[in-house]
Amino acid sequence: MHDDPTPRDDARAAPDGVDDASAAPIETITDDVVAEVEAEVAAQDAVEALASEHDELAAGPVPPADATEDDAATAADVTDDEVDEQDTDAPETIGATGVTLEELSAYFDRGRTPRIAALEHDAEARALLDSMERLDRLSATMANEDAAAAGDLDEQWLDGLLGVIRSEVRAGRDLPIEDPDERTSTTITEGALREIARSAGDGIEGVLVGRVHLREDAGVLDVRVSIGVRYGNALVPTADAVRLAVHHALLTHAPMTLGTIDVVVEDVLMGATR
Amino acid sequence: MTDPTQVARLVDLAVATIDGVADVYVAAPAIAQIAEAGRREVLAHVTPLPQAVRVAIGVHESADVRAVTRAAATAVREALPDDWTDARLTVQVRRIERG
Repeated sequence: MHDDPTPRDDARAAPDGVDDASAAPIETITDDVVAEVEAEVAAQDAVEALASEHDELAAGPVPPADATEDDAATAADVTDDEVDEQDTDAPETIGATGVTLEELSAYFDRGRTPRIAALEHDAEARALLDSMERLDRLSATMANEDAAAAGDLDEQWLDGLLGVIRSEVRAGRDLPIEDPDERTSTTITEGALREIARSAGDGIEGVLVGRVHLREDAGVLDVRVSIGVRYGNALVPTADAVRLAVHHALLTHAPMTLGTIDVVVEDVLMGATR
Repeated sequence: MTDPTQVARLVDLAVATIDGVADVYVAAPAIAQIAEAGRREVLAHVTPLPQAVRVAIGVHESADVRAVTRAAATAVREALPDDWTDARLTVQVRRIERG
């Protein structure tokens, strides 16, 4: 799951004395370490100048493609400190990763290699990466079947969809599952339920889920899913298939009674989406 | 009192071995996540005053969520040091995972 602790971890965990084990220390980086990191960054800058157009990671907290996971942690720490000092209007980052949607997208475009633990162990980042994979798959299918569609990229639409997904993968409220004893609670997040509804809908051929809206009232969960359907697919059977898939997914995992599931076709996908 | 970081490590290890747990994620209140962005070295969120432990897991799609969370809670309780046995524990299902 996550990496074995190292001596470096010991120095970094429990940042505020006994207050909190999981926050990072606000530690003073020695001049030697700074010089070492600066030298590494300078070397990477030279390499990344030749990188693809998606290599925006060079400017952000996610380390370059040839960094190891340990390198990634070091680079992220230093860069985050710099960002804290220099820019209070920094773009919104994903979960606890410290990276933006654009940076995560660049990581995806690199094939998620080298693996960056800070991204792979963050639920929001992982949910977004999975969504990007589904988008990619549908886009590739459409492009393969219709060569003309491949050139009809709708980047604006894609950006909008990723923005929606980005907002929906947040944890949101904790919905209770059960309390095994008076000191223990088990919960599931709204984000988890939205994601399985989205994933189930995306699993229907020719469908991309837009928004997933959940409304929980008195132990009953109502769902509204907006979808885009690939041009040529029959709308009603497709919407029915989405409704069944979402119902099945939530019936299995949602800790409350399912109410209505509404499916709204909001888009017809004319070309490749990615 | 056992160091909270050590407690978090024990909890991380305990949860990861539960059948049906697909992955373990960073667990923290939203504000803490912003403050800690990119810096976390442990996944569980452990606070000493009051003693509280929070873990976030991904559950396999084919697994029973209630059974997995119950098993995870039991495993975490067993992994806690003696001076943390009264800690408040929350097991949060953060994702349902396919594949």
